[in-house]
Amino acid sequence: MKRLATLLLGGIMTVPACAAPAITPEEWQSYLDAFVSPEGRVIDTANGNISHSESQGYGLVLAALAEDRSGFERILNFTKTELMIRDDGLAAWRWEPDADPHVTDTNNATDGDMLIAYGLLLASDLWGETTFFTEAAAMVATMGRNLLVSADGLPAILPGTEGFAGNDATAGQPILNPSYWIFETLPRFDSLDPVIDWNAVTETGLELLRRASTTPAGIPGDWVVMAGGAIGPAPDFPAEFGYNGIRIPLYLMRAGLDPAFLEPFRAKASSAGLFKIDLATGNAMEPIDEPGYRLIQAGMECVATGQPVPEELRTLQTTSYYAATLQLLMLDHLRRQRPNCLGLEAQS
Amino acid sequence: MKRFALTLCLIGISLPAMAQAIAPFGVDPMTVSETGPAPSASPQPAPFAAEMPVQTEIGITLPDPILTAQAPPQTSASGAPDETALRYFAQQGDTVRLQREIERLRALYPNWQPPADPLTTDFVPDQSIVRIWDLVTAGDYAGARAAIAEKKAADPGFVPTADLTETIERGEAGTRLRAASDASQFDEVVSIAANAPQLLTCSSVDNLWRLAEAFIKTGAQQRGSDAYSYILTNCTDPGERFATMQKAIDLLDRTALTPLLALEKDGEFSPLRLDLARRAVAAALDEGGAAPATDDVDLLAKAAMADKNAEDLRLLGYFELDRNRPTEARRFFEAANSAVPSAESAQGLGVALVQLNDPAAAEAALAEYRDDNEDIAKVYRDAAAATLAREPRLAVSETILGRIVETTIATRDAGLAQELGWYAYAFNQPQTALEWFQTALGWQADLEPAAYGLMVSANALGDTARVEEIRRTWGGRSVRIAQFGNLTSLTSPSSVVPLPKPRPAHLTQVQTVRVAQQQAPRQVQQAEASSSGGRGGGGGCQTFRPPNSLSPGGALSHAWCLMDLNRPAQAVDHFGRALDSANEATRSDAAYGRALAFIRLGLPDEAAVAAAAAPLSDKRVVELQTAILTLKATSAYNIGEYQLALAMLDARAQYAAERNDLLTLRAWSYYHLRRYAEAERIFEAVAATGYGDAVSGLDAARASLRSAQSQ
Repeated sequence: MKRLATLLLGGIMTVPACAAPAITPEEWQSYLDAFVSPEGRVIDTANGNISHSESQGYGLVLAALAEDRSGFERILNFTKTELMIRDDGLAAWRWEPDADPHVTDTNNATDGDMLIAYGLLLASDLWGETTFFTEAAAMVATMGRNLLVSADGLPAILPGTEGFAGNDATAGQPILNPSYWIFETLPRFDSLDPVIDWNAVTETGLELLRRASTTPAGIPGDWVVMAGGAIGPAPDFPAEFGYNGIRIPLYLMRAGLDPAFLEPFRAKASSAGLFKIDLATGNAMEPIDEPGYRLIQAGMECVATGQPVPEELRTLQTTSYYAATLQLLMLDHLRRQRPNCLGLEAQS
Repeated sequence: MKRFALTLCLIGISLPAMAQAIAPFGVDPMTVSETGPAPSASPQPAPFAAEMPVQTEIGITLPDPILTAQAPPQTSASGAPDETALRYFAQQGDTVRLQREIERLRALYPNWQPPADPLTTDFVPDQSIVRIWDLVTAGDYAGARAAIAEKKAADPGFVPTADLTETIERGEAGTRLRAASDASQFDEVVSIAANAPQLLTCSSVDNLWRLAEAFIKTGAQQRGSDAYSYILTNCTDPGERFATMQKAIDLLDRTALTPLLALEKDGEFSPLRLDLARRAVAAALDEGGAAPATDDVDLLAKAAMADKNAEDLRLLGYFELDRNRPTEARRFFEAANSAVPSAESAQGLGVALVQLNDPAAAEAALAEYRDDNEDIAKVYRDAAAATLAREPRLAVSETILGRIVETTIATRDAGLAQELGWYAYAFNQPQTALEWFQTALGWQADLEPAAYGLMVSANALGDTARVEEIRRTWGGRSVRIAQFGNLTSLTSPSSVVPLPKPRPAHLTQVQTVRVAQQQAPRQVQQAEASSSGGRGGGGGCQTFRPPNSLSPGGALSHAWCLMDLNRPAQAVDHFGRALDSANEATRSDAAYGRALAFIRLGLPDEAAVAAAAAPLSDKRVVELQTAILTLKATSAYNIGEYQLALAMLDARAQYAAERNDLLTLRAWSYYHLRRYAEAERIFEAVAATGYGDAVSGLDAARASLRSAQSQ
């Protein structure tokens, strides 16, 4: 029953059949202790202790990577019973502990749905559970039909079913979030659904980064519009690269895409780590400074120069849900694919 | 999640509702899945036919067909069965599950014999399985799934029983159903219920309620009704049955409720029937509300009278007022007030009494509460104004007058002050009247009736300088002030009736008109006196001639002459003398003239009586009826009887076309009855003819419409 991910551009993530998981049980337990409730709710501790479809999706992906079936079941139970209540089978994007009902806005967040589906696929691979596969396939089919949109003529990911279609201020083009291109998921989705060309969506994501590289900042804003062969910040959103966008280099590395795409992001970082960037000037606005974020910068540095990541970033720091999540994803990638960045011999 | 949908129906959910089998609400378009035949026992219709969600899977490669109808294969059918679950159910006293587990194990192990006493303590249960069932029993499905995963990790051969899996899935489906319902994802609620019919039982009536709501909110009202009907037919808990009917009342319209109410047992819905009747009566008071059924009104009235429920009695009172039955309204308000004396009941009673033309009783009922709030204060001031303005003028007691004066001063009500002025004037106290009119003008400088009253009082006091001063300052704004004392000006009553303004009803302008007209003869007499008899020649009527000193024919000529001089009060008597004529034409002429005189005096009822004194030509009948009804409509309007004003206008419309001023009066009547849309339509039409007075009405109606819509 094991299904290996289709490879897009070279050897990338698969779940090893026999090797120990790249995320250690101790790391995973500390993540569970810090951010996951007994009900399986993955809690955004820096954001009023709410949960999102995104946090649940990350939780599922990480539980599969950590090969913790028990934790996976817990998180899935909460995800399905509390968030996957939309008429179209996707997840409501936000769950608030203090609101009644807990879900007050039933819009979805497409990256959350992508992560949930991807987590289910990883779990199906690992544990041979066909229902996980079936549920993922249904979500992918729905996303492929309802949440892909033409942006400047290219197939792109609509961030949610409501509110992103664009208007006169965007010349009728949809508002996009470049960090919703979770590149490693796309070839996997493509293999599931012969009707939808998810690989073309990958190409759009890369085209988006190419266009951004010609802008003053060199990197895309968190919310953008593609039109007339160019890219620009979306109206009514801050014209900045920030906490959304820092995931892009992580996703590029995990998917094994051309390291050249990392260069503009690397250029905007420094030895101190990542920054919020003002898109108009390209200037740094404020540091994005937790160990989890710094590891992304260090990872890019290693890819470019071969310099191993600093010792202190190799240990999970549960400073915040978001930083810890990205750190675990980065550690998983380095241990699996780039042991040299951890000062280790490459695995045979 | 869907594979056990049908088999689950056979699990002994120990409830009469499940034995009852078919709930009459299927979910279209669904068919019974081919993938889930019942493994044992006879096929049992499910409340919902199960569905394969085929639409989302088209074109998707499935790793395996998910066609498992049976429970997954058990660990091994060759060894000894694991009796943990069996013992657990026995300890929990869950005999239905216990029996099912025995049957399941028998099917797998044909040679196995169930323990004679499943409660014996010699059996050592698998604690990990006991723990899983504990979690399931506690509703911790996340924990149960995690525990199963741990058990599988420790024992790769472990496969949870179908019962365990199904119980967890059912619990999860219930959680999802509630979450989807809370988030108003009603299509999803229907979908979840369709795939988990085991949720829809009398033991989880909340699920049925949520499904009924989801049906109704997705436009399937009949199915929602069927769901309620299912509960009322099958479920027995009295509290839940009552709550079911309450929910149905909230979500279904009245006609859909009738068959549900018919499922009542032992009068359990009596309070709800009363509530429905109450809602129906209350709804009739809403803008454009439908009239309630007679049964509803009767039921509410009977119960309210029996229970002395003041709130319901008031509701009925206002309902009767709304359908213009003030006598019945008074009865309800009196009952309410005697049940619990209160400002609210007194207020309704006051309104009813004013409508019944008994303003003094209204004033008395309201007096105690007149300072309670602004609403009741307004009604009180209306009643007080109407009390003062009664015709014929009646003396008001010191006590009552005292509190009216007190209220007038406390609230600085210019209209009421003006009314006190006319009251004083009527009782020959022109100096007092003048002071009240001055006071009124001090509070409201643009109050024309007060200015006019001031003019009339000053004139009565012989203060011609003040008369002329008022004419100078007000003449541009008021025709009657400009033409005060000008004998040829008053050609028809309507010409001196100022167009109604959007003012409280207590500005009874018809009263001021009437007084003004009664004043007219005095003007003439004064003019006569000052003209030193220069026009006193025979044949004229400048000189007073007692009616009975004239022949009927002579009296008739004299009367018409007096009419020409606009002295209708005197003309009435002379026309009366003319009625004594033996000549039918003279009598007819006299009746006609007398009626006209009363009309000019603003006394429509007397006019109608006068007109009946002798046969009249059709043309004159029409003329008089038109004039009488015009006057009645205007009078009704001026005392706040807007319904009556409209009725009079409608009656008048049978005799003559409605002029712009009366159309405007009609529109203001609608306005005061809060029928803003109709008011707006007429104001608009009249304003379009260039009739300027309709413009302010149009603005007022539109403003009210906007504020009504924004609420």
